[in-house]
Amino acid sequence: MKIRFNCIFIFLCALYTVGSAQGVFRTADSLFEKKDYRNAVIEYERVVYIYNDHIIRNQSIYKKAVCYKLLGEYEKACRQLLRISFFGTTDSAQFLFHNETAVCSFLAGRFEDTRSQLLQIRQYTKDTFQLKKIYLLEALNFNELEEYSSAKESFSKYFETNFKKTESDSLKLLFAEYFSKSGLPKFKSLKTAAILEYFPGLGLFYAGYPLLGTFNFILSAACLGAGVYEIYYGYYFTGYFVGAAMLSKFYFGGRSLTVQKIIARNFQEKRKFNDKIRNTIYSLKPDK
Amino acid sequence: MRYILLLFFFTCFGYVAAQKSLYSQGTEELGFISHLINSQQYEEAIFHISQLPVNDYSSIGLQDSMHFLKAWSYYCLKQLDSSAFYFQKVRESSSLYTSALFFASSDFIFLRQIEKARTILEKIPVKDSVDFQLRNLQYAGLSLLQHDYNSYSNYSKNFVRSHYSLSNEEIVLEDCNNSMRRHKDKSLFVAGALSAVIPGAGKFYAGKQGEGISSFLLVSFLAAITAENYIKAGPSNYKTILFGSLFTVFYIGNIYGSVASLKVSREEFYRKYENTVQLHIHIPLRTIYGR
Repeated sequence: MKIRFNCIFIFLCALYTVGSAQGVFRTADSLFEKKDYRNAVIEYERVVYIYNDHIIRNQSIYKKAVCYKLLGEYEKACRQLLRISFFGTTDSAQFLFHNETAVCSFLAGRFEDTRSQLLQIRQYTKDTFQLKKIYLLEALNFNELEEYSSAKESFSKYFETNFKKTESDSLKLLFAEYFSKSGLPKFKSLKTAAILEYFPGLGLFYAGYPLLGTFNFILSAACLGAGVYEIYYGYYFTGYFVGAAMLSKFYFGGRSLTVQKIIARNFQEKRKFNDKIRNTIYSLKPDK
Repeated sequence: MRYILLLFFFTCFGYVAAQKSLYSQGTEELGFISHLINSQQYEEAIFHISQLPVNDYSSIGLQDSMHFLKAWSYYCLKQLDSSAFYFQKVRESSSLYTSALFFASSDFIFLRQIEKARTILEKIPVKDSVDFQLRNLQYAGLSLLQHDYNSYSNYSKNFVRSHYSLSNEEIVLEDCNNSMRRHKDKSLFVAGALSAVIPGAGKFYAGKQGEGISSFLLVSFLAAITAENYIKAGPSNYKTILFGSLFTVFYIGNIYGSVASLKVSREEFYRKYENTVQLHIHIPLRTIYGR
């Protein structure tokens, strides 16, 4: 009789505990499932407001950050994740929070923050099975940071851990081609361009804008020629105005234009390469 | 009869229970909204208040608090027109009425709608000496913003310089008043005339020395080129006409620029003091009524 009573008591207690833990997020989760993320954010914050238990609060903040991510408000998501307290959290929870922060930082374009979060995951995660989940993000982040050899290495690890051997080998071959010297984006050096632009128009030629370079050269040469001509015939003020004042405008204008064009071109090159990699990755279906 | 009494009893009980539940729900929401605001989640606070049946809370006296918190969130987001709108929704019966009106008037001051700010200040019920002093300071500030120095003098007579959150601001306003009164506006005509005689001199007069030197060099240089071509190639030569036209454009432009420079430096002078006045009539609001 006593045993039966104890069993009933324990069973009821367990039921109550499980029920109440799920009940904390019931409203917020149902809004989340209905894709009403804006209201779900409020309800998750209400949980943070009501409950003092830091595990529940962490969970709620995490879910709130996911809502922001789904709303495309990545900065807000990052800000929420910074509120998480890591004191007394399990390894798997820590991994989850760091990983989400890394993803949101990546989406917000804060690639250095992503690197920092990924480094923390590598430092604190003992479970190697978990680590295989970060290789892809790590590789994409290295790509954005223009650290292509590290990116290639991370992609290889991602293929090894997420695909069958044959497919992984063929993907590694494909990516070896992408990351070969001929496949990598060809960035133009600002330093070289600045040296070349001492001769008007040459820097623009180097940057890949021959027409602009020619035009810049003709303008500068015409100003210089006109200036010399005027001085030769005794028009000193006119010569100075045309030869020095206008030449300096075109000359220095050409230099700053070269810098702008090179920055824009390098950005485009990087985008083209990274988009190609991303499109290839998105078309893949991991086996494992 | 017994049944009617029973029905009446149950109706009363139901009404009281519903009001109590609404009240507890309302106060809970109020606490939560304050939490959102304290953790600087203003957009979320505004969104949440918009979702609530704020009008239902009027029977339990929480509607005004909701409007106040919404206005405060807009105020923190620097959306001052919305903030002023919701501050004005707080009713006279609310304990927040006075502070709401002070902040609504402050919103209008920052929006440079001085007359609206003044109208709102007139509505403020003065309950004690602090409210009176605070409102007086606001009026004095508004007078300075409108450059109405006589009106300022009338209000400044009421400065007592004894309240901790007002005394310093009263001194600052007095300093601003003295500086603005002492300032004599320079003549736009003189600036233009000086620039016509010596290019760039008008800008010097306006207090913009760098611009003056640069204008002088440019116009003189163009004059020298025109003169050179005039002397050597004659008045009908295309270079004389080209550089002469260029010189004329820059010469006239320089006169116009001098007048514009003087207007800008005038605005800069007054803007500097107006910003100081705005800030110092706002500080005591935050000290006395701020959250």
